[in-house]
Amino acid sequence: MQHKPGHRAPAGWWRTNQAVGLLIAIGVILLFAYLWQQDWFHREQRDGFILGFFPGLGLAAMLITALALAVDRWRHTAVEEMQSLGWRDLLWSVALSAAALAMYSLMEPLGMLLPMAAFLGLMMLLLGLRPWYLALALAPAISLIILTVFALLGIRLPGAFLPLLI
Amino acid sequence: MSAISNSLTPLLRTTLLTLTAFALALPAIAQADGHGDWPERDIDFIIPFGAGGGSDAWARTISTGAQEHFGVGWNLQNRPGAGATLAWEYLLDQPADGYTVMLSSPTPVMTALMEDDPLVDPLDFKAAAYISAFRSLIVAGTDSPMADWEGLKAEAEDGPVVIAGTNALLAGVANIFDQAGLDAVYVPYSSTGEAVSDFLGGHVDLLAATASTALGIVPENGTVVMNTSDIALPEDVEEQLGGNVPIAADFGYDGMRFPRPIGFHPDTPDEIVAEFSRRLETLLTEDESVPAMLDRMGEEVIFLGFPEANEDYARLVERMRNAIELLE
Amino acid sequence: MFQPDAFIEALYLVLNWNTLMWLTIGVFVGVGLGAIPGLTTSTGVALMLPLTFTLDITGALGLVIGLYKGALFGGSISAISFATPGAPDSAATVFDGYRMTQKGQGRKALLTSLYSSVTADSLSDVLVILIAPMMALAALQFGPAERTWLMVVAIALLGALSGKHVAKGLFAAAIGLYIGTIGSDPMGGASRNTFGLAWLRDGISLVPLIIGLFAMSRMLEQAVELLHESRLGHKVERRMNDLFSNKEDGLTFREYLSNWREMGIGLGVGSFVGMLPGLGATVASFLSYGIAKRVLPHKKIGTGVMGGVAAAESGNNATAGPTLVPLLAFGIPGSATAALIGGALMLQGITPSPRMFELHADVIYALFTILILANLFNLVIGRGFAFFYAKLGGLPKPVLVPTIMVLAVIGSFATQGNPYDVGVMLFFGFIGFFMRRFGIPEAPLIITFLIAPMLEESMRRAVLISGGDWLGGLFNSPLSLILMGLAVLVLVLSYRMRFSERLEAMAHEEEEESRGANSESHR
Repeated sequence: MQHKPGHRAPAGWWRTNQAVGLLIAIGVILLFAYLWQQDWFHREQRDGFILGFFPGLGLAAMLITALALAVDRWRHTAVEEMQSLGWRDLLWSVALSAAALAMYSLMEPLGMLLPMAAFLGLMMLLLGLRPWYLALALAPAISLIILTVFALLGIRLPGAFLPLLI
Repeated sequence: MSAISNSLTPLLRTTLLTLTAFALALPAIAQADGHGDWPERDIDFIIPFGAGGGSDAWARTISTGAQEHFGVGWNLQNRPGAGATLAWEYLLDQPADGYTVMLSSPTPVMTALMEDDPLVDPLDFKAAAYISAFRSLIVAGTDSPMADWEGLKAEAEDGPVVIAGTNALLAGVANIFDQAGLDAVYVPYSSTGEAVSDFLGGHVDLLAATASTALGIVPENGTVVMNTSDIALPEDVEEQLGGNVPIAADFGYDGMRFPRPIGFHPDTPDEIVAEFSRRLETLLTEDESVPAMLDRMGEEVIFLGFPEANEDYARLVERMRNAIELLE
Repeated sequence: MFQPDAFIEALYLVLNWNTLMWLTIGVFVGVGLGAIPGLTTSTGVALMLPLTFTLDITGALGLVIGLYKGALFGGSISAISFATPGAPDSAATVFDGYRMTQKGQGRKALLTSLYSSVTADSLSDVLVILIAPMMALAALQFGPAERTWLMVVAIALLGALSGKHVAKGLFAAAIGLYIGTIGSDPMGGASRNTFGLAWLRDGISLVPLIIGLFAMSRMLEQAVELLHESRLGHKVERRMNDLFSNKEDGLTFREYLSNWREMGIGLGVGSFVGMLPGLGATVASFLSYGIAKRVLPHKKIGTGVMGGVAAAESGNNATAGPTLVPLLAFGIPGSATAALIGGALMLQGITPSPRMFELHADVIYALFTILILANLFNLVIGRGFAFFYAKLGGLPKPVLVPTIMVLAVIGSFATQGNPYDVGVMLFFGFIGFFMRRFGIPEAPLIITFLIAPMLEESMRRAVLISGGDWLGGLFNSPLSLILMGLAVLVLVLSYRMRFSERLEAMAHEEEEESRGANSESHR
């Protein structure tokens, strides 16, 4: 998905392409500094290239394009979606990813069904599914359908169906 | 509970007691037999690659005979990652009780040898058996002056020849070239398909190939110059490859094979490993269905049991270490 | 050359209940499996492998080929309905397909996908049957040097995917370039760029990367949007009823024909990419999509139109037949699936090699017949699945978003059974969320991630073969020179097109500014 750059942003500077580009450039430089200090980076391969040459090339390309973002003719614009992006949104996306990870890590000790149904049910409620009893009914039903399909196909999943059961 | 036992007739009670005592004594009896009560539950069978590859096909095929020969099932688990050493690390993390077994191949051993800081020590493995082996064949174009070993030697003395193949197969060729004092450029490929295609297109001089790859090339587009291993080809395969395929020993070189080891955590008791090896041998050689299936897949059982396989394993690692150094 | 007796014998082998039944099962399982994220063709074929031991040759071929073709199409169903590519090769379908679903044209998108898949697939099969040996010989001309230049051409062509803001497209490509180097050195085998994490030694896997960037990122985005609205609470009973009504548009024959150019591009690109070992259906679909977008600017591909779906889907399905060319001509398995089909042949005692055409002509013809038949089965079975999924795509978002997140998690795991893949998927889900918010396109990232490592490998191999001589290694044949010229031509042309576009855009902008417009309304 590509967004047409918006016009001069009334929002703060830190939402503009320039700010983000500079931020990324700083990150890339730090990453490069880290890689440079690694022993493997300078080790020569049998065809004469050092191990770090191609990763370094990738980082150089990232640095150049990030700086280009900071200086090209759209540097002062902020994409529409960036203008509405708040810290809360970023935190939410991290939190939701963490919830998915938690669900995955609980699958082995607790069996597949419970964490999956709990994740589905809580997420549905959180995302605003009403009436609430619909979420409670749908969560276990969807989990059962998913698990049945995978079980029928005979694919190994991260945990057993229920704890202490296969 | 007591109400139930009171209601039992004395006779039944005696019988039950006897049975219980017998059941309790069984492990001890079995222990005396030399191989414990192993296996009393399903065995976790680790495949260090994803579903769909050669190792996976081997594992799935031989596991069809597990119930019959082991009395328990095998839980096949694909645990790919880290150049096939992630599965190995997992194996070492499990208790050495004989309930976790791994199907290895040259790949994890090569990874462990090529890394400066490998996840596992390549020697941390107790090989219960070798179930098969790869041979690296040198293939040259039919009309090429390198189509026989003397011609190849003459060319290679003039300047390095270019040989394509996957790392393990190249190592097999490097072992022979080193003994013959010849120079070569070893071009590594991650997939057999690309290596063969570059060979057929004439972009490289020679190809290091397995017997089944060579079958698709010979005789129309190539000739086998040498079998660089220490085991001859099966007769029918040799015939399809034009017959009389020279083997390393014919020229006085020490050939090298790449086995498919199957094995345990190094601390696993020898009795269990030996028992596993014995049952596996029956499954792979005396059973009818599994070897037939493998044969139809174009695979071949070359069995070496315990403790011979484990004794050879350390030498194998050493041979591979030397061969990898030659590739550098 | 054509052997009528063998052909009639082949028809007897194929047209019986046993073969047709296995073909049906293959396509059915394939489409179903393909539509589940993370489960790809090779997973499916591996699961079915023990079953093929017990079948006769045509039954086994029917099962494997049916599964393969079904899965190639099946991936697009979930790409269109849920923005979740069932397999990496349908990721390019997400761009226009999912937009169409959001516009309420999901059914039309699915039918476009099905018909263009089947069309390109059938035509590429015919191509294989007619000129397989010639195609195989042509493919052999591509050695390391030629492949290097071919990759350069591919990357140059994909400038088209970088969108309006060039720097953002190039930045995405640079990310792909960098993460493509994580793993191990292609020549020496030592691990590089792994941050001391041993599990990164095999590199970032494509499936979790694609599921994260395409599916998880969109779900995070939608979840965040829903959270903004959720205080109101969603009454969903009405929407649930809509699920069982039948009022979305279908696809007319005229509309289908209007995509002939996109399908032609897909057919050409897919057939060519398919016959070269190692490139694969994902590269084919992205390339075909990118080329269609570049040469057919008036179609506005990328904004949710049929043409985008048709280009991407015909591109990936057109690889299905040609991927067997190297196998049939030289016994080289050109892809994982071709290797498995070769395995099925070996099981029956038939070694794939040039001799096969003489020794087992009936089996070859049976294989060709099954290739064509599988497309017809795909049409019928795929249609059923497509409508079923299109209905599911209409589920209310608070139900759909968490469900797709769950599928993304277990799908990433199930692909290989590698627990770290779940972490990789979630990581790129977050990266993708940020990229989408900041307007960085995903396609250039995927393309350089796929192609740059192949480019590096081919280039270093070419130089290694020539003994360290760069010029001699990379310009060793007329074909290399032609390909290099083509790359330069593409770059010049796209720069000029870009330049004229920019002039247009600048004129447009001035006009706008003079009107004092400050909205995004005419997008």
